[in-house]
Formats: sequence, structure tokens, C-alpha cells
Amino acid sequence: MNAADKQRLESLFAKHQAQILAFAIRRTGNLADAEEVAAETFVVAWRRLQQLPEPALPWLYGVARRLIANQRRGARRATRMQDKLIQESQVSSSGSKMGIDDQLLEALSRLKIQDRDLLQLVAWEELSHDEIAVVMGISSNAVAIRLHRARLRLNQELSDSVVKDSALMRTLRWYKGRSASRQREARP
Amino acid sequence: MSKLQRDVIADLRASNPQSVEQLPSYSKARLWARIEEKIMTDSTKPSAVPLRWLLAFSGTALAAAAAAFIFISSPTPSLPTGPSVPLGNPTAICADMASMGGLQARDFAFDGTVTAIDGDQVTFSINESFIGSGNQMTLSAPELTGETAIMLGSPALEIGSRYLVAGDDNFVWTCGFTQTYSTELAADWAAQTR
Repeated sequence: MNAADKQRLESLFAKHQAQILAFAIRRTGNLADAEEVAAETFVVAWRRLQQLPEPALPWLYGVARRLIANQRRGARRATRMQDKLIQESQVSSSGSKMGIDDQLLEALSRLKIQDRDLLQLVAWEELSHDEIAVVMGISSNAVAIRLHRARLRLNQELSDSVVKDSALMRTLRWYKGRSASRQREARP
Repeated sequence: MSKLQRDVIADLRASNPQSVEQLPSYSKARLWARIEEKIMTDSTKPSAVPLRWLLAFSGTALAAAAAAFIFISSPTPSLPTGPSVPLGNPTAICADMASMGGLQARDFAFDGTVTAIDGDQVTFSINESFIGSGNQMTLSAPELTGETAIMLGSPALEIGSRYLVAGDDNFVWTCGFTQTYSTELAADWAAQTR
């Protein structure tokens, strides 16, 4: 590694390593895997140092996203995304789990990967449409259209969850009522 | 937005499982050292690709892996010239993939031509199926498309080009399981999957 390249890579690392690591933790659910993804991401950046776009962060996210997809498939982890997301919520050592909405994350986990990626990139990485276009390799216009649909689908999933929960609660209430009634009838 | 619809983006933002400001304890120095090690290993010892990775492949897949090894070990005109470092050491990820078995263990394997690419989704017109059937398949290939293609031992896919493609579910596998078409390799794939 020559000095100029090393300096450039070091600068890129210093500027973006925390964001790339956080991105990877959100999606892999554990620090060890996330560190591997982050390291590989910067190695890919090293290979393409002369072609890196500016700003580089969306490009780095795009590489990390692909590495994670490859890692998941390669290992063929059977863990459902739902479990991963729950794990992800447990990774932070800060104890900042107060805001975690399990129902929302479960609904998110039921979406297709493309929808999930879009929503996560907007909400968690707080990227613009143009930046997401770089990450996902699609046009900004396609991002806008797909994001709109993804939001609708997530809302639909949430509505379905509420309906299911309501149905469950009605069943539980009926069951409890019936049990109480039987207990009363059984009393002498 | 209707009353029934939540602002899911705002809610998701509030449910971010990992903020950048509150990362778990990790060592930046260790992470940097890991990157340096990978780079140095690549530039000074390209033959350091673990043997277990190559051995994990069988038959044709071994040939494909060898081709991938050559691909990652030597400069190729289609690749960015970049720093004087070869294509890196993809083995950490490829080793996992190889452990899932060779070509015969895949859900699909075919000789196909790319007819469309939409983000990660690639549509192939199938010239010959080795495993599976059909005239056309649209598959997910996030590592092999777009400007951020990482090309782990497989080429970046281009519309109009012909490839030998293998994978599982609806995913195209990298790491030598997808290769630029050649008659020799196609004959070998056919023999391996008979």
C-alpha cells in the first residue's frame, strides 16, 4: 500500500467506519459479523480507490448491503428476519430499547427484501432518494415509486397485525368469559 | 395520509435498533488492522486463498473456483485499475458458500443470456438448463449488478452477455458459481449435472 493510498483509505475509514458498522449491525444483528462486513467493505473501497464517487457513503452502503446479502446466502442462515430484527434491537449496549416498536419491526420483517431495504435506508440511514438510488442501483424515480408502495405495504401489514390482534383478543375475552361462567355454574 | 395510516418512516426512525452514536464497544484500531491485513494478504500473498475453499468445491465447481481464483489473483482489463492490489480475498464469505456443496447441490444451474437488469433483479433468457427448467428466470443478484458490484469470484453481469449461472431459491450465487460462458465450461457443467 503506498503512502498516498493509505492516507486516503485511512481518511475514508475515519470518516465513515462508524456509519458502516452501525449499518451492518442493524442488518446482521451481531458485532462479529458486522465487523467482518465493515472490514470487507473498506477492502472493496481500497480496490476501487481511484473510482470512488463523492460523497462515498452511499457507495459504501451499497457495497456493505451486497456483502451482507452474500453473507446471508452463503451461510444460508435459517434465522428469520423477524428474529434478526429482534436480535438487532438487543445489540445496542446503550439500553436505548425504549423506542423499539416490536409490532412495527415484525411487520417490517414480513415485507419483501427490496421494500425492507428501502424503508430502512430512509428511516435508519436517513438517505435521500438520490443516495438510495446509488445504494440500490436503481433510478431516483424508481426509488420514489417503490418507496411509496413500500410504505403502503408496511401500513397494510400493520393493519393486518391489528386485525389479527383484535381477533385474538376477542377470542381470549370469549374464552375467559366462558371459563368464568362455567366456574360460576359449577359453584354449589 | 389517512387516519388509519401511521407515519411508518417516523416510527421506524424511532425504532432504529442501532444508532451511530451508541455503537457497542469495539476497537477501531482492531478493525483497521483487520482491513490492513486483508489488503496486505491480497497484495503480497495471492496464493493465500485457503485451500479449504478450493477443496470444498467438487468437480466442475472446482474448476469454476480455480477460474475465480485466477480472476481474483490477476489484473483483468474489465476491472478497475485502482491501486496496485489485486481483487482481494473473498474467501471469508466464499468459504461459507462452498461449504454448502458443489454445483449438483444447487437449485438451478443454466446457460443463460442477460436480457434485463432492474436494480438487483436480473432476467436471464435460458439457452440450456442443467438443473431446473424454464425458458426465462428473473433472479436476485445484488453482488453482481450495479456500480457497487463486489464481484466475489464472479463477473459483473451485463445485458446481452452470456453466463453460466447457478444458485438457490431465487438467488444467483457468486464465488465461482456464476461464470462468463464458454463452451468448455458449459460442457463440463452439463457433465457434472447429468
